[in-house]
Amino acid sequence: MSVVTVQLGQCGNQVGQEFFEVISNDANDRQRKAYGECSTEQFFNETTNGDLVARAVLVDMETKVISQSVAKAAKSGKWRYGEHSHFSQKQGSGNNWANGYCVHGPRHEELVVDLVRKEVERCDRLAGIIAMMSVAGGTGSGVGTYATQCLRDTYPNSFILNHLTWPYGTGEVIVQNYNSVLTLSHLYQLSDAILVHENDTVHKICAKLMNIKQISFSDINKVIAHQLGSVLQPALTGDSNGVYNKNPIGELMSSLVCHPEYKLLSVCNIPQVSSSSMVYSTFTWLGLLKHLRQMLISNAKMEEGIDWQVRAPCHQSGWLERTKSHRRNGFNTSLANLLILRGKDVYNAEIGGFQDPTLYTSWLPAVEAFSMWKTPVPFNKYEKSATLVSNSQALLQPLDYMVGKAWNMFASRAYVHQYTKFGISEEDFLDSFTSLEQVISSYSQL
Amino acid sequence: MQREKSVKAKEVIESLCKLLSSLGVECVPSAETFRRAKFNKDEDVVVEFWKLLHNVLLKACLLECPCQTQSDQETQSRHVRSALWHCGYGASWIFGQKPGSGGYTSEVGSRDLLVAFGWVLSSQRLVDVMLNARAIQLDTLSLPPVVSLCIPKTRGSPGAVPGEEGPKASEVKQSEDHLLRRLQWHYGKLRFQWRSLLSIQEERATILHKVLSWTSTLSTSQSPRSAVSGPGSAVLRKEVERLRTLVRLQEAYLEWKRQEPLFWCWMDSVLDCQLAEPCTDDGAGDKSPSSTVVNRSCFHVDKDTDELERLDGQLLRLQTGLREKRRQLTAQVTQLTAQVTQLTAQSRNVSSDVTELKDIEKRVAFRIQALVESCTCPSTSGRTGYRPSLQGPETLPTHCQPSRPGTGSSAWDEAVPPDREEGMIRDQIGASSLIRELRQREELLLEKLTRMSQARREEIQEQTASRLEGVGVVLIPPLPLKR
Repeated sequence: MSVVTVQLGQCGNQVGQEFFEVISNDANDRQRKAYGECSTEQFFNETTNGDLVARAVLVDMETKVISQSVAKAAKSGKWRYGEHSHFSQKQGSGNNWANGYCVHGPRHEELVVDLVRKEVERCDRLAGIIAMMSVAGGTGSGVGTYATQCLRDTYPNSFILNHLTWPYGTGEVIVQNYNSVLTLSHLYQLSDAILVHENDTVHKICAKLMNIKQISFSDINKVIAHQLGSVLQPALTGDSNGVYNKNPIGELMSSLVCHPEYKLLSVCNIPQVSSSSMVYSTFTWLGLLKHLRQMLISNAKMEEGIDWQVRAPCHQSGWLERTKSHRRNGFNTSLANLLILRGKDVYNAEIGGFQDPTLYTSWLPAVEAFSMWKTPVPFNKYEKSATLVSNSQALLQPLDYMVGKAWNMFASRAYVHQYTKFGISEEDFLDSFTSLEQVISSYSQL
Repeated sequence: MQREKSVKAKEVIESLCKLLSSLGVECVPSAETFRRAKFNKDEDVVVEFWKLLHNVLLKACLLECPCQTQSDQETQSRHVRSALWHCGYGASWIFGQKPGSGGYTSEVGSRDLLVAFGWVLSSQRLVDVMLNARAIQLDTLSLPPVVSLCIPKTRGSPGAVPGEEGPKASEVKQSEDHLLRRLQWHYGKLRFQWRSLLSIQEERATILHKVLSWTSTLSTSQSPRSAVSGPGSAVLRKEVERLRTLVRLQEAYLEWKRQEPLFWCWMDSVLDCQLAEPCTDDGAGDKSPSSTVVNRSCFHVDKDTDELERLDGQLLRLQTGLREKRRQLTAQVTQLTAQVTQLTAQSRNVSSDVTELKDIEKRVAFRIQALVESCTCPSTSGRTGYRPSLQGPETLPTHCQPSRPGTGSSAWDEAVPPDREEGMIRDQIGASSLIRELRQREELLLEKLTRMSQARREEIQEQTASRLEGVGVVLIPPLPLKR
């Protein structure tokens, strides 16, 4: 019923703070009692004073970001972080995964796990742990991986969802690909599901759809938080029998990541418009869902620039031919999809297009692969919004690109000494490459 | 030494009995009963062992049969026999008796039943199977639950057949791979749901704890036992009881496993006893278990055996039908060949008949001619009255025989009257003798002709010579014509 969030590294803390902001704004909006109560129960702890304290643990090797986040939260007035729910050091990790994983992680393991345990004990029932981090840096990726490992050991039966932010392809950090590869390969074994946001994609959304001229990280974080919130806010699922679902993470996982080889999730959310134009826009479910479906098929991440030429394969051809033909067309095969609809008239929405068996892989019928959640309550000021959480080949290309670049660097052993001096050997690198190649091949064969 | 061995055997059997009762088998006999069964003497031991076998086989073979609660010994023994036969145990006592003859349970010694029990224990891995089933019942959280995989025949599923032709070998292999992945998916889903369930149970535990702590603080004056009572604690007690049963079961199993080799040594001694006794062989000739034992044990099992029988009958019918057809065909073929040979023979006959006919016609014409000549020729001496016959001397047209004189109805008869007048009836003469006679006659007549012509020539020569002598001419007669 309650979700504990662990924010790791600079990116994780910033995204987390925006995320809680969105949640609290949405929950306190108007008089939607049941919805609001459910939402606050999940993410906040109500103190005896009536204050909302976020169920979060902030971890970073620098103090700057944490203090900024805490200050921002307190400034909002509606919620705040717990006074002792953060952990920071003075040094930083220097964008080095090995530094974070081998040095800082073990050193501060007890303290971090203790913080999380205190947060968990404040929950009546632990619905899951969300770890937010980026994969490019040192703390988020290295310490984050180590923290996830410790949490997995401490809570073997809880759901652990890792939210990752992938860096820009053009790269802020030189060794970001190494960090990404190492993080992903380790997290694939430890985590139940890996929800990914790419900076490139979100940047495009900000630029094209929201018409922001000078895009800063806070804009990007806002979009990410909005998308995350639209996934995790209370919803009526198939199993929840008419009340808001108390176990969103568990439901999400049992709908999407049941197979151990396929854990990468991507999020698509429409509409995304700037707040100024929101007043002038009206949406219909038909239009939204049609766009969303085409976004899924053609692997587009926003409404603009969708390739409408990509079509689902037709029914008549045998499934062997089908797998060949749609790969040529740039068709995105899904393993499983979760559609979340929020807004009014949600029960009239036609979702037949998502139940088309040609969208899905051949070994899982559409009936089992597609799930839907509905909420009659609008989310975050959008009158109607639809979110699609998809376990599909959407992330295949960026992953492939990332692994390819990392391999090129590794082939010439560039910067590897920075890692080996902290204890990550070349075998570890090779193991990581192997496991990611395995993931890539699994997804290619969908 | 002997006493130690027997004591050890007793301990071992006791641990087995304990394990069996922990596994939920009813009517487990005591170790003493086992010992008495070895000597094959007591009747009540037999009854107990029938019950034991029945219960054990019910549990192990998992017969889905509503007639489990029948306690009738007759049906029990029938069930046991059929189950043992199905498991592959082929002792002679299983199918010695006919049903209804009344002697089903008798004449089977307790030692035989003990040996059967030992066989079931060892070959069917009885204890492990029952332990698995019972452990799943008691401890639902530890073992992986069974996933029922229903494959709907939809388009996108591996159960569907693409296109009109059936799946090829590679497609079949790929569909197996798909099924496996689907199974993994379902299993993962189930594990997630199980984890949700676990978190719910933990929440319930914390809430119960809260409730209990509240109630305990409220009622500090009352005894602590009443504070524990309530619906929540009843559930907890049930849980504890279940766990205790499971622990006891597992301990019994471990104990049995430790002592199992000794049990088999004791069973060896039982077998030695059995082999030492002279074996009574009843019904050695009739070893058809499918007809005697297996059929009427249980009407649910009957369905399968009926099916099998029906199929067997069908097969037999088809085979006999096939043989019949083959026989018919061969008969037809032989018939046809016979007909063909017949026809060829007939045709040959016909041709021979034709040649015969031709011969006969020739002979007839010849004779007719001869007879006509003989009739028209006036100076036929040696005219013999004969009646030529075509066929031989036996058959005679009766109307020809009595021919009265003077009546010349046929040419044949004309030859007869002068004979008749003379009172001479000549015998019939065959064709060849007729030819000979005619030839002889011909020769005679030709001789006569030549003589007469010679005589005339001489006469004429003399006459002319005499006439010409008067004139003074000499006649030189021509040379006689050479024939």
